[in-house]
Amino acid sequence: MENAVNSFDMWIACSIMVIAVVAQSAVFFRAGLKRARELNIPREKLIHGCRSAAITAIGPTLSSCIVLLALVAVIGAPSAWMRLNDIGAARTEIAVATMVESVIPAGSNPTVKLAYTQWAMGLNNMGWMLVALLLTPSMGTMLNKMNSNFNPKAVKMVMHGAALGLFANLLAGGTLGKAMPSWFAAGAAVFGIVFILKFFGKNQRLLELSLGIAMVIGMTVGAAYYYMTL
Amino acid sequence: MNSDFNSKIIRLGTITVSAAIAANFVPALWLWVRYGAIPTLGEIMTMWGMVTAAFGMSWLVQNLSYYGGLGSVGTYVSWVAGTAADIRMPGITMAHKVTGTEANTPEGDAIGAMAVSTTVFVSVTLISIFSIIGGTILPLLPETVKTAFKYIQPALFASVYASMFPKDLFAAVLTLAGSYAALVYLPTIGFPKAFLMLATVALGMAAGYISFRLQNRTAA
Repeated sequence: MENAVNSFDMWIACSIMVIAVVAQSAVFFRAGLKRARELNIPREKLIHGCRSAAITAIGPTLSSCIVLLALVAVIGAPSAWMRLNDIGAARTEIAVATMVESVIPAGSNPTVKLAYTQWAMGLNNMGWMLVALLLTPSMGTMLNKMNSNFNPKAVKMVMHGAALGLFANLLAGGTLGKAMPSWFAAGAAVFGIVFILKFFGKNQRLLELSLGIAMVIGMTVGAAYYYMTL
Repeated sequence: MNSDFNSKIIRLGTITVSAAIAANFVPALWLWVRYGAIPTLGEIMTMWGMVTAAFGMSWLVQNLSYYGGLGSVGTYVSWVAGTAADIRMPGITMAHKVTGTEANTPEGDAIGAMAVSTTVFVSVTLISIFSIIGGTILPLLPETVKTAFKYIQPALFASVYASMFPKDLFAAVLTLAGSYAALVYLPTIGFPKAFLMLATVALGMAAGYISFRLQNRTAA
């Protein structure tokens, strides 16, 4: 059996999902733009919003690219490219690939191993997407009903609280039980963003870059502390 | 969200996510058709059981927990393109911040849809570039840079959290303190780890409501 892991046809097969990801975003971008025009939102505002989102996305994406090589070693470049672009963090995909090793028949060639791994990853990703498919309509409808039946300001503050709870969990999880550099990274990032918002909050360009700058400050301080205490 | 726009989003989301579910299996099906490589039905069901046991709770909890911050468009996009916490939510949050809009408002929904889509265009572009040249570039990165990237998550989550301070500092401080306490103490009393995210989200919602009541009392 030919080794399909890094074959040209695997690149083609894997590109279908990447195309689906990009196409979905193009569809929603267009829907958002159409709605923005209906609401007469100035073009400048849209550009600022998209630019800040783009800049914000760069750092974390580069971070996941660093894990790329580890994933390539496990499932080959085409599948790694596909799986990093779809649902499932690199560490989850590596975990699924490891989990499925017990199911793969002993002595299987790389193509067979890849087939088993692709099925396992596909099934896991399907779980995420199915739940989103089934739950999102009712969550949106529930939110509309809440806005109709309750004080909209209260609903807004409660939903903002939900976002706070989510990020507080992620922040606490990213620092609790971790070494001091992580705490320093978090603290420095907080200082960075608070400083920028307080003194440069009216500078549109800096505001767009603020999250990226704060992240770099945090990462740099974390790494500096790590090397200082080596 | 305006109900017409919401209906449109649900329709688009249903179509695109359904297409993504199918596209997700194309490589596996291709390996079967072209190379004859496929697990048995029993093995597929075994793998389904394994991933459901390992991640099933996360599918449900994370979808519910993240909805408040992502909204409908963000949810549909994030659970297809992934990295909801690291890339999509921060992108939406910062887009709202620089435009002075809020989630779950007509303007905020429109800008949020464009913002989350933009993050996908960026991430796909960068990941694609690195997939092709990463094998050459990544080993050349200085060790200090690779070390710095180890701290991106606490830095990212801390800066996103702090960016939300101006909107409701009271709720932010209360939620943060409560979340740290929850993550430290709840597991010690047997609270399932799978539900900790839901617990802190509920805590945040309660903090938001308390803040609303306090503001109303002050205004009255």
